[in-house]
Amino acid sequence: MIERIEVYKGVLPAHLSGNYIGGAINVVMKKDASANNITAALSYGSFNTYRADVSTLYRNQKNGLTGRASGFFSHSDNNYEMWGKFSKYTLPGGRIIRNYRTRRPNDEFETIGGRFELGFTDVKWADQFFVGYNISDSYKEIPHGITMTKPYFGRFNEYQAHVFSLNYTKRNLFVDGLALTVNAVHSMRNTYLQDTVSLRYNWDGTLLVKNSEGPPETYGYEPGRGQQGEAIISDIDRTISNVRSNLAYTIVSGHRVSLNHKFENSNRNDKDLLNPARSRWITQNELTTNIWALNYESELLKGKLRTNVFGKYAVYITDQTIPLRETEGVLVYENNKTKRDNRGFGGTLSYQPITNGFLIVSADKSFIMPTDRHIYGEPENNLLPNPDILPEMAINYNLGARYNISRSAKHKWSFYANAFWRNGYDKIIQQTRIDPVIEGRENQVEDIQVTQFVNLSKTQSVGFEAEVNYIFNNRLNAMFNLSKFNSLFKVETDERGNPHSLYDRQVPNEPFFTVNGNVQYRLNNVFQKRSVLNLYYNLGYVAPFSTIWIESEWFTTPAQFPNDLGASYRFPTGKLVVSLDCKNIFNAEVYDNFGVQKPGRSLFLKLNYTINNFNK
Amino acid sequence: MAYAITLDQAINPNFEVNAIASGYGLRSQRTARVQGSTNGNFLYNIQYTGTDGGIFNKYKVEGQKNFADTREEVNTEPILGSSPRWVVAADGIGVGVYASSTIQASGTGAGADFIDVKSTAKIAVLNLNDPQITRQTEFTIPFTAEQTKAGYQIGRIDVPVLNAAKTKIFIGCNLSRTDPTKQSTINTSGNQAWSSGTRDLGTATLVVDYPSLSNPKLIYVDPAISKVNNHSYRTMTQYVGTDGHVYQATATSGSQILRISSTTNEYDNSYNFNLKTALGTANNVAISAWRYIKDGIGIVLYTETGVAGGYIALVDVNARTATKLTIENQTDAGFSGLTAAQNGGKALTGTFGQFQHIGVAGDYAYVPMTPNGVDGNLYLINWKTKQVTKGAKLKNQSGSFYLGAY
Repeated sequence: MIERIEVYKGVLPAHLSGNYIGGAINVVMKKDASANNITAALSYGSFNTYRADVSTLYRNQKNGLTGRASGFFSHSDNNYEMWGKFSKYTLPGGRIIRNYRTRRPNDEFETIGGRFELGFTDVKWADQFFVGYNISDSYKEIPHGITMTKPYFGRFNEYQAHVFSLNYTKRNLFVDGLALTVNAVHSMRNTYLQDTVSLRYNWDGTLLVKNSEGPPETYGYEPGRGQQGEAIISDIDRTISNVRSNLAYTIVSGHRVSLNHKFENSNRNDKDLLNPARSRWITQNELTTNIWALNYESELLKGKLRTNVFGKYAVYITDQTIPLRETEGVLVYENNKTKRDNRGFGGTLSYQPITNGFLIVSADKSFIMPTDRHIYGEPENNLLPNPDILPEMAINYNLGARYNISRSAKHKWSFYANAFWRNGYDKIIQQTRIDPVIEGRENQVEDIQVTQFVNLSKTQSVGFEAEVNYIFNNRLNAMFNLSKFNSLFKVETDERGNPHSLYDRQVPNEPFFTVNGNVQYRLNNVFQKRSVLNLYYNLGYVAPFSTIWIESEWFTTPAQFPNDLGASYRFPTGKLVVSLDCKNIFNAEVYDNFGVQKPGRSLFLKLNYTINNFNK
Repeated sequence: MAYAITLDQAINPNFEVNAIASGYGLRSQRTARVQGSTNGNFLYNIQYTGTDGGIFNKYKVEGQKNFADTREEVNTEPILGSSPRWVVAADGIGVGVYASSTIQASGTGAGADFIDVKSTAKIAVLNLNDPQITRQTEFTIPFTAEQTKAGYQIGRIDVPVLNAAKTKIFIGCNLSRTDPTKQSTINTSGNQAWSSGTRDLGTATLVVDYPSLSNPKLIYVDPAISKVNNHSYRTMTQYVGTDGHVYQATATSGSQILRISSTTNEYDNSYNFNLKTALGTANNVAISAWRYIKDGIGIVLYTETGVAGGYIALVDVNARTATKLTIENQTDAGFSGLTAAQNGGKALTGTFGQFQHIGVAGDYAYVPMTPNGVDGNLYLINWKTKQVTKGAKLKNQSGSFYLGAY
């Protein structure tokens, strides 16, 4: 289903400008509608993970009517083994055993869905026109909070989404050289959260025992309590509309102007199902964003020099409907509207001074609008709102170079290096709340870990990345890259006006040095004639990083070194592909940014079957 | 961060300590609530929030930045939550406490009527010498039905102390009163909020038997003497005196020291020591921290309303006198704190509000005096002669301060 994945660093091309900074990853779906086919895939692997996918494409050659449909089902118990230092077991009486080996509890995930598209391809009035409908239903258990403080048993989410989409692409619309692309999506998403189990558990699923002597006493039921805090059953309905349009005009060959517009509106409605009367008192939140961008792209010097200059303007409006009081059975509301706008601009230049050698320079002043999570918070996840949060602004500089060597047919080399310097203003980060104790309100919130998105006034990221690619005889494909960047705290003075002691310190919870390597080898005609066997090996490395501001051996996530191995075999008919993937073969300790351990060694088997041209 | 020095090094003004750069990091995501053993050989900490919130750690003091984690960890989170309040209640005995209150109303949202309020307390006793939880309990705080219907509740308890006979635990309480006549409103987070009522009850202390933790009871001082809460914040503010009675400060917003009699285990209404009167200041005074040393002599850290700075006084609770001492940098606003408005947009947390422990050895009381973000010194106060000696230099860092000597 995926045609290719594009990775952009620095300034984005015109058709992708939106609410992003520093780069983007664009997943391009297969649009090739030339051959009708049905594809089915089945996979099974570690942690009781199984998945089934079916997809089909049909195109009527005479009138261009095209239909696409796909369905998927996926399930995983995610019960991988954990043994890192934050995996603890509490003995009766309270003593703790560290590095406790246990299977991750309560992290089951299941999802089912379908996607249907109907439209026309390659007709007079459109290159592509589709209307689509996506439906999905998911169940996800929640094993713990942001960190592994204590396990949750019985807290889960259920998600449902109905998404309607419309896509339209046409080159040479009305006049030659004018192209229009429109992508519109309207989604209705529902999140259901339930947390009503009040018993207290150890990580292995047994009940905690209070006393070390005498008959064991467990923590009994506490009506009104859940695993994380108070018992909760809630329903959140989000309606999100998204329209992205791009109108491009090629003035003369090599010079193009384009106008890009992104519209997004999100509306959120919360319901408290445990205390339905409380739902009437919940604030309703709406956020509308409009981003306009104007680009000018040019090709000069016989295509050796390419430039892209852009200007960007964004407006966002927040709208809150806050219930104040009730008068004679009718709720009185207060309406709170704010409007913020921002301007940005930048440019990128790519020059090919020698054959196979490219130089890319880009600079931009960009911003990211806060999302509805940043502004309104998520009470069910103890994320506080921050209505005054400001957009994040960055001034970025990128310098990159690429050089390809392919003198002989057998050996092909490609070198790439990129350096960036990014000055961030009001960077949006998630922070634990630090509040002085206010007399009379001490019994509020202190016990539950609450976080909030805030602006970090000044940060600086400086880094570089280098990558080498080697292809031998079109059979061996090797890649090696390393990336080092530092996010530094750049606030100069502290609350006393003195030089800030944290100035130039690495911001915590962000890995800053990673290495990736990948080797693939293709063998033809192994076992059977006209078969293709692909072998691959991946390695990764993440340098240790801290999860708190001061240097501390305990709160440093250790070095991570996962290795993956795999193979895929395509049968001579070309219809069946079998693949075997072994991830993290050495069972290394791997973590996320908050010290939560990720899966160890795991094995997955996948079968992929394709029927082409079924109506011929 | 912790750093250990000898007594000779402490009294030397040329000796420099930089606990932040060269100290040992006690395990805690946020500010640690550190306690020390009476003999000074161990430090104890229960981690405050984060991945290990509620985990008790014990460290052996080995000098300078060497603190050996004994790896005897106890999980107090199930009973006390991930941000527990605890102190060393007596030698080798740690007591952790937690309280919460829930209001029962006629409905949700704004315009609801107040019906009743229930306050719950949880207590856990920790054996510090052989770390584990020896006993724990949970109960409803025993207000009378009349009192709860009038809106009285306790939402927070702290600073438990064991009496001389080791038969009772006295716990400081944050008593407040919701006005039962006013209807509820909605606050900015969309939650139900209530107005406060006038308080008629005196300072309250929660009492339970030791070691059974049963028989909970509330005792009140005569409201004419004091109605200020005594639940303190991070530091111990009630002590068993040489005479066996418990001397309790109405910290951290009040200026008084009250007495709980060792014979009746109730407040002694004939006793009232008011620091403000003893000092003879016109401004109101608030006790941030204090320690009873011996024979009625104690040392008090306090702030004065409307005056920047943190001040130290030696008090005699038997004679009911107080002598204000002079410390070089006492007028620095970094001790008392500044609001965002007072400090050009950035609030400044005051050192005194976060103070945890006053050290005592021989004839001296040891108090580190570093305003928020600024260097300072360790001061040695001879509690017999009232002489103040400036001791070791304390190097500081932005947003940090030294909060105790153990």
